[in-house]
Amino acid sequence: MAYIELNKVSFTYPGGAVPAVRNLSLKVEKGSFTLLFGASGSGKSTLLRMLKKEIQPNGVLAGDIMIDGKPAEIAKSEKIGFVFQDPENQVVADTVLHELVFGLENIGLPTSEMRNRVAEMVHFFGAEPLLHRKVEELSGGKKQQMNLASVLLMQPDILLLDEPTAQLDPVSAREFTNMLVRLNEEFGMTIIVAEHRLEDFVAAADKVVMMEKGQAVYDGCPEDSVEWLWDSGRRAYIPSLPSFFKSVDGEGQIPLNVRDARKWLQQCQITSGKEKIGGTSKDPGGKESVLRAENIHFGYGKDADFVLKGLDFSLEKGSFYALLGGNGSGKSTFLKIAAGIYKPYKGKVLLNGKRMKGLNNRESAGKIGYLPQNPKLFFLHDTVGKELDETAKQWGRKPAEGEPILERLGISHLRDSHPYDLSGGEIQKAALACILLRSPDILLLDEPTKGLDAISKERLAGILQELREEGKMIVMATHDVEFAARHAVKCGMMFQGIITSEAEPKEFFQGNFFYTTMIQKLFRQVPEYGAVTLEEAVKCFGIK
Amino acid sequence: MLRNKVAASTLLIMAVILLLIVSAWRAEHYILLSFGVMAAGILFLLARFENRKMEVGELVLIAVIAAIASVGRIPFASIPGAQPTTFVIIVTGLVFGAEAGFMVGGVAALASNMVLGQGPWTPWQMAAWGLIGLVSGLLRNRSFMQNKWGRAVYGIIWGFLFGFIMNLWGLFSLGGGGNTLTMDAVVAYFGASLLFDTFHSIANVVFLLVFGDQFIKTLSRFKRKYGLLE
Amino acid sequence: MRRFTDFHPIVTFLYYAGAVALFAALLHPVFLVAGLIIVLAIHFFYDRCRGLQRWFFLMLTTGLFIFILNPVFNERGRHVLFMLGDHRVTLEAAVYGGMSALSIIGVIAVFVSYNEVMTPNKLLFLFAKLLPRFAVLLMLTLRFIPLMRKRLEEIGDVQVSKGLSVHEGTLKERARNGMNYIQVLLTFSLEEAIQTAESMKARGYGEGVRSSYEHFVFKRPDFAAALYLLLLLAVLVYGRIQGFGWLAISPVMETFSFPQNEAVLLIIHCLFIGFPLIVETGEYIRWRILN
Repeated sequence: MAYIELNKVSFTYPGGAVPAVRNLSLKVEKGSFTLLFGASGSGKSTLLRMLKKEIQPNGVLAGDIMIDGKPAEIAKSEKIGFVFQDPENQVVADTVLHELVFGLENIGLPTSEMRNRVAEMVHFFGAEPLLHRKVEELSGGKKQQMNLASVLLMQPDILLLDEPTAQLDPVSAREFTNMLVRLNEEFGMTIIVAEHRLEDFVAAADKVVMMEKGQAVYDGCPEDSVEWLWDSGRRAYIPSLPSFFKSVDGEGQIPLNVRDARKWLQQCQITSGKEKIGGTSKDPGGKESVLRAENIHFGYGKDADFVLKGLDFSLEKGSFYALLGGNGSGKSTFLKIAAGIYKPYKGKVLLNGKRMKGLNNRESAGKIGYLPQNPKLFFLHDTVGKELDETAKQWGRKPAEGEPILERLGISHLRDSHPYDLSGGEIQKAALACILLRSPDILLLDEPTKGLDAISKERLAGILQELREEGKMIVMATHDVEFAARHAVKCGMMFQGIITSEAEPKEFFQGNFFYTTMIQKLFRQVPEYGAVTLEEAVKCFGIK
Repeated sequence: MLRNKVAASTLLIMAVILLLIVSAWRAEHYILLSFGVMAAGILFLLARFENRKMEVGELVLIAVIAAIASVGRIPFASIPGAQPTTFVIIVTGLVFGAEAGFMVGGVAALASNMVLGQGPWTPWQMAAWGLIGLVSGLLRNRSFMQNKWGRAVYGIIWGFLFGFIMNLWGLFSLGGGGNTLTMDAVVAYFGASLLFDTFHSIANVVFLLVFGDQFIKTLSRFKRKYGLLE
Repeated sequence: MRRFTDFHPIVTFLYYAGAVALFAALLHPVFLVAGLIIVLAIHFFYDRCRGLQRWFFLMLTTGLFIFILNPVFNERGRHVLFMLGDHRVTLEAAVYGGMSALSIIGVIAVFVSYNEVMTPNKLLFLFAKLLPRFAVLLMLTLRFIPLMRKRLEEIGDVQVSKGLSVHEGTLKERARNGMNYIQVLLTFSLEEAIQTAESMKARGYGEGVRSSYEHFVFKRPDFAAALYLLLLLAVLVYGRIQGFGWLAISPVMETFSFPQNEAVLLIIHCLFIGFPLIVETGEYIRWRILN
């Protein structure tokens, strides 16, 4: 018998028309690493929660769930650890030490035992200097590590993680992933991770399970999963390297990382394909500058260090600009300056040649739309429709003008929904609809692809391209290099409060070593074939 | 659990009796007595809170609302006298009942003083805001509380009553041990805070009239969502 | 040189509670002045009174207000200092006002020091012993306050980008927008907090009897210090009941005398209030000898 075994499990939420999990059977071996993936709303979270009795949702459950040969209801709580998606919400204490010992206090351990465990754990995480810090001062990545540590201190045998890296930047996500791999390899911990993409964990997993509409549609080893996704038409989920491999009908083992992919490529002959690389430039170029920032200085608070230190920026007509850069480089801050939310201490922002300083909030809001990283904070009213109607009222539009926008974004059916009941992609579109109703010329998007699954990302890209063709200019701050490489017209790198380099995506990513796409990393060894995106690589090369 | 409960109640009853005896013996210590009664009341409610069966969600909910009540002043920095703390506490009492109201008021006061700096006013502030939540919860099923205007009047009363309770600690230090205060002094002392209290009342009324229903609706939604139906 | 702050929170708390009580109960000019001087010395010793500066204005205005209010409204007393129209300004009222003012200034000064020494961590520790559930509630609230502040800022930014600001527009608009911010904060945070509750349940909160991490260990010096403070306090309470350390003003102001017993009590009073200074001096001497 397997360590964790689900036998024909179904689960329906109260009032739910269809089951969230349907007739699902699953076996997980002790000490294995399982990746549970699928689009948002496919039932991954529900499935994970059913394995931990303390947080089992209310509803009707059918079928058996056995853990270590016993029903899940009688499993000891500290034996199963659970890490949630949002690093912020799981935290209950104001200092790191308090947070770490919270679970230990709950199971009534004596202080001496707590001290031993904390000492060990802090050593494992290399977190001594953080122990007495305020939780507020930690970055999102560090917070999530602290949450993991707090769970690990209870010495669980099984670790369940619900999209643990969805809210993290790529560097922190990688760090977190490596930590999980270590836990699995060195300590033999049984790990199940739910994720909406394959990339981060596919190389580490022993087993991949894909969920769709509450059912496990695939259950097998990671290498075969790519093959299966490809054949069953779910290609959007395949990471770019294996996707390239499949696109050119590669032979042999499917490469899941750059090392393996390069090995494979070395054995192949690269030939020129149908199109020339870098043939068409997306940038119309040489157009007039609409939004212009000159020598911007800005810091939070009087005595704080400057976040922006003499930044210059220019957005031309018809552009789609992607602002890349590490955490704390000032991307989000600059977007807020450009949106007129903050006023720079020094320097000026010019909109159509006029200084932004002269505009009040309402006037700048009419020209510039800002979509925040967290669209939930956008909504003041309890339905999408009401929000749209109020926006119409505020901006002197007819309420009927909202309908075509909703229709165009494909969310007409959500008019009466509470914004918080929508999925990540839907709420983003709902906010976008309200922004578009004001008909601004410029859209500023902060991390628009964060937390979106592959399908929602594709749809967003489609919408943005359409809007650009209608003449709207777009600036987005993002960590998502693949998205920027595929869709942006121009990319800029932010570092320490200024834009250090700026170019068209192709040129931009070819110049980078770390901060670049997987395809570019693969082709770096053959500079004459400097492809950056998957599409480009597929179009331009033949591989024999 | 039960032993704790019995011990706590006995201790409390004894404390109150002791206070009454002392005050009968030394009648001039009426302010000291009022302080004692207040402390005993707070202790009683805390003991009840400790020993009751409680959902984890309820605890988190109280903490969230208390935190919001204590930062609620920030957006109104540019409007003198306006702060929604009292409003938030009243609405909490109305939706979640007396105990939750009391805890939100008391914890909001204690926690924000832990952040901003404690002073001799801390216990009074805890008592005043705690009482607002408590009374709102006790009165929530009365007919005048179902109606917007009834609630508005209630808000006015609390604006002044809050000032009255907060003045007590000043009076305590003024009157201290001796009984040297005349009625005039008391009136003047309270008069001095009248302007501030009026602002407080106005803010309460405006918030209750314009946002009362909306907030009650929001909180009721979460009451269901957290599974906190009595 | 921070021996005092390293004491167990129970000791620290005992000291501060005692000091506040002494300032409130021993209404005698000599006791009050001596106490205040010592508290100021403590502030000077720890941070050259930097922490006190923030509260200076409050202390001064409150003190002055109380000092003036008393003679203005209180005509009782035999010794008339001067007449203001037909209002008697008496020595008794002035002395009483002065003492009240000193008392309140002293209490605030003690609280300022309390705030520096009794970190939330220590207070939480004390609560965890007595009221475990309340301690968790307080801990959650303290964790949420900075989070709410940050979210409120984010909400403000997003709403400003929609043209809804608390800094522009009529008073009505600003108040409405401000309240909308709070409404969003409330809805959003309550929604998110469901996960907080889940994370607590997932870590076993509410299942069994909770223990608490002893951040502080009660050692021998703590015991000695607690004993020292309690003994002094007991003597002071006894002295106060006997009528020392207290200047009677009504109905008749006692003639100002300072009997021997009162002098002894004053020394004990100073030994209590000056506890941090005594500890630091002892530490300094030990350090000199060792080096």
